[in-house]
Amino acid sequence: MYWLEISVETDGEGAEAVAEALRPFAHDGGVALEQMGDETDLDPNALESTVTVKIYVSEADDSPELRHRIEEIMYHLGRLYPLPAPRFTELKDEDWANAWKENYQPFRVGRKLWIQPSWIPLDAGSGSGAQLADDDIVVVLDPGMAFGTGSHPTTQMCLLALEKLVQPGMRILDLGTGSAILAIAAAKLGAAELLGVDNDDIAVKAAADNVAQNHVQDQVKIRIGTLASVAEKHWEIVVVNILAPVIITLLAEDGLLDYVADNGRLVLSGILDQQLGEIEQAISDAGGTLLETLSMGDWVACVVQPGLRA
Amino acid sequence: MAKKVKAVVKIQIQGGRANPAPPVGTALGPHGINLMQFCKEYNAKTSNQVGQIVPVEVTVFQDGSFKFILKTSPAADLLKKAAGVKGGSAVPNRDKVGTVTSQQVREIAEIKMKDLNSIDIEGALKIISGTARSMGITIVD
Repeated sequence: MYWLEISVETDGEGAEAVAEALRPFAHDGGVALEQMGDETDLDPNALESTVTVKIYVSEADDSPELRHRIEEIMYHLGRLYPLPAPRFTELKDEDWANAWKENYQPFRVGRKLWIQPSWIPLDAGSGSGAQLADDDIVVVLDPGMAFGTGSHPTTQMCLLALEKLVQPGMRILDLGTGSAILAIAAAKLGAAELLGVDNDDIAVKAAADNVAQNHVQDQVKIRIGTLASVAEKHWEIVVVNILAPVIITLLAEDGLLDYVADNGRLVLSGILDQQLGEIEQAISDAGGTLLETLSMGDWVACVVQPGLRA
Repeated sequence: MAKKVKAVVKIQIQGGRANPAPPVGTALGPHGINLMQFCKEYNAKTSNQVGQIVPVEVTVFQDGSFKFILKTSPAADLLKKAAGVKGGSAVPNRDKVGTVTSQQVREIAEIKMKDLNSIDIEGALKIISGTARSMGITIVD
C-alpha cells in the first residue's frame, strides 16, 4: 500500500492556482502548501520563497492516465505562469505515519500515572529528565493512528479525574476509547470491569493491542460501536473524551446520563473553554449536575453526577 | 530566544473532519507532528464549520512542537462562488468557465488581504486576479 504524492513547486503567487487545479484529483479534496524555514537566515521565522503544493492519491486511484492528465493540466497552467513539471512520489506508510514518535517521550500525569511509549525502554527516563518512581502506575502505549497519546490536555484531565475518582472494584465505561489509554489507566488504578467502545476500527485494533500489552485483558473489554450498542447501564464512572458537539448530542438525544449509576460520575472532556456554556446547558437539560470543572490551556473537562446535587 | 521555524504548512481541508489519513498525515507526519493531537485541536476549533473548507496554517518548529491558525476560505473557493461555477477550467488559457466583476475581485481581495503576503490592496488584487485567470474566470468591469 502506498500513497502517491503529487507535488509542484511554485511561489506564493502561483500556489493557489496550482492548488485549485490539483484539488479535483486529491484524496478528500485536501491540498497542502508547504514552505520550508530558511536555514541560512538568522531570523527564526524566515521562510524560503518556494511553495510546494502537494496532493495525495491512494494507490487504488493511481494510474498512468491520471499522471498524464495532471502533467497535461500543469502544462496548460504553465503557459500562463511558469511552472516546473509535477513530481510523483510513492510514499510508504512508514515514511510519514511514525515520524511523530521521535518527539513522544515518557511522562508523568497527576501524582503517579506514568505514560510509557511502547518503543522506549522503561528505564530510559523521560526527555524532560523525570524519572519513574517505584510506586508509579505505568501505562505502556502505542497509540498508532488512534486518539489518546496522553500528551493532549483533554486526555490528561481525564487521567487526573480518574486518578481521583477510581476506587477498587469499580465498573467503568470509556466511550470513544481511542488508544484505550483511559481504560487501561483506570484498570491499573483498581477498577474491576471496564468497557472501551469506539466507532473507529483502527482505534479498536490499537486499543486491543494496548490492553494486551498492559496485561489487563481480564478487566478491559474493547468493542466497536456507539453508545447505543452498549446494553449495560449504571456504570460507576462513564468517561467521554470526544468533542463538545458529540457530547451535547449524547446528552440530549442518546440518554448518556442513563448509563451512569445513581451515585456514579460522568467525566466529559474534549471541550474548548468557549463551549463550556453549551455543555453546562446540555448537562442541566439532561437532568445532571456539574460538580467540578477542570481546566488546562484552552480546554475544560467536567465531572457530572446524574440528578440533582445530593 | 524564539524557536526556529522548520516549515509552514497550509492545508485546505473540511472543517471538523481532520483525520490522520492524507493529506493531514502525509503533509504533517514527516515533520514529526503528533497527528492525533493536531486533528483533535483542529476538529474542536472548526466543529461549527463542517462542510466548508477551513484552511489551516501549521507552523512546525525544529523541536517538533507546532502551533496553528485557521485561515479564510481559499481565493479559488471565493471566486467560484462569485462566478457561480462549480470548478475552474482545465485549460484556462483557452476555455473560459465564467466571469466576475472587478468589484467582486476587490471584495475577495479585501477578505483575503490578511492571509496574503501582500502589503497593500493593489498587491492582493494582483494575486486574486491571477488566480481568476488561472481558473479560466474572466474579469469584467
